[in-house]
Amino acid sequence: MTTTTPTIAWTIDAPAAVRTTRDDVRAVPAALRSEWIKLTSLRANKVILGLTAAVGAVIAAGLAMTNTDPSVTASELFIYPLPLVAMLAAVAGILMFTSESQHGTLAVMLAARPARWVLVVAKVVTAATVGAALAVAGMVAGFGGAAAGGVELGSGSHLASRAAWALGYIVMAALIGLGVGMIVRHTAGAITGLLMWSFVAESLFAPMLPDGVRHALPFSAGYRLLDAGPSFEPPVVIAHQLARPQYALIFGCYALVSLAVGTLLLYRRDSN
Amino acid sequence: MITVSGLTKHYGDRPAVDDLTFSVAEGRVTGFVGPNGAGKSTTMRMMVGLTQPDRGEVRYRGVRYSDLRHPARLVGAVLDTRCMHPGHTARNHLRAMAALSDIAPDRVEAVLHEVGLDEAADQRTGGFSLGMRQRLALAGALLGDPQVLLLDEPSNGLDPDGIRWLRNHLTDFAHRGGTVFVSSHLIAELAMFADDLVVLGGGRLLAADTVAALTARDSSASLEDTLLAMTGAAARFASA
Repeated sequence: MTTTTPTIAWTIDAPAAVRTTRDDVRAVPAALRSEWIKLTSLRANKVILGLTAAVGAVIAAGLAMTNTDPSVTASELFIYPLPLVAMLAAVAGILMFTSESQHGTLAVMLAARPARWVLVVAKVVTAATVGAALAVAGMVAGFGGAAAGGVELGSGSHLASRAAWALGYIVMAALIGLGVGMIVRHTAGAITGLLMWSFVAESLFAPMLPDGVRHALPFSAGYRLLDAGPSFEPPVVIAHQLARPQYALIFGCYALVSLAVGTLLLYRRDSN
Repeated sequence: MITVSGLTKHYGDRPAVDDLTFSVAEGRVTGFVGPNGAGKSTTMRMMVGLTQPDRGEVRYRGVRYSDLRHPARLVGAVLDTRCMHPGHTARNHLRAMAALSDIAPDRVEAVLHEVGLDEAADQRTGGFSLGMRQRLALAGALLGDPQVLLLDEPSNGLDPDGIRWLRNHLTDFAHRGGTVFVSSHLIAELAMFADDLVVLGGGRLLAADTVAALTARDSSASLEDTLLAMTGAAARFASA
């Protein structure tokens, strides 16, 4: 087995062995390929996709079956399950990072690609893709569920616009999840924190905040991208309603800040 | 040659590694020994940029690890056998690693065969024994066909056949010109195939010499006894 012929020669003497920014940019597609392999080979991701479709279909079908207003159509009902889909997207975003950190594969990645921004770009693109896939699954299933529940399909005039805003909402939720995961680095902690914030803290704090400010809470702003209708809100809240692009800007800022903080911590912290 | 210069790392007030300077020669197996908490793992993590040193640096023929263009093609490292997602199969784990480092996909099958995991390639790693995880981690280190191997306690969990395979593999790797830097608690095991030893205690360098020179320091004692006396941690080694 043993051979004494030196066949392993160090190859780092050449200047070409030293990394440049150009090399890092070229490494992004490689990092994306790696993320894609991880994404498609994990059963949990397929479960989340299936769960998203099931949630969309069941909620929309339930609303359609209990609906008594003949003017309500599937093209309106399909958006109602989407806040839950957004939560699933955020959880998927969290898992994309915390599972790497907790299973030690983050260290493998960082050792393979010392330019950490390359990994962040790959994660962001992948999380956005996951968010988009979940959004499409949730919307299609929601529309189908509502139609199966017995309501009219409705006109398509606002459907594309609604779907586009909903897509943005869910993609940004996935990115917020990724950012939170990068900051917290612990699956249970990050998911619990996110759910507690969105379902409990925002609901509790919102009434205590000035009317103009409560719209700036992240998931309140995100929800308004769906334009689900202000029928349940008091007039004072409606009076301070912003336009959808403004809500998109607010929600997008939360995604950007969480990713920026997460990236900063990725550079500053030692990897697990 | 790998040169470690003035490497220092504190966790709070506690020094984990203190002004560590040594070099690792090409074409040789260098053992890295010291009791638990001596700073071996911290040093190895700093060698691949996973832990930032407070001071000092590590260079591979003059180039810092973080500046290497293709780190995985120069350095293969196994620092933790838990470094795999339990939901991934062995093959997919390696495919993702290969893709990230732009390594040809056919290397995946080659290293699976090399470490004897061909038949377990499509099993999820969550069901792997410690020995299988160790082999898979080694496969990951070999994926880029590297010139340097950095291995932290690589024989943990391996059965006697596995330990022999590892020993032969590392020796052959060094004979072919590769550089091997391997930490272990098993001094006697390491002495069987290491050419040089770096001895660490309390985060400080205690000795860095050839195995022959260290053995000759006290002809009446075994190498293990010499090193234990050096580290002043005989009780901890004895109970390990």
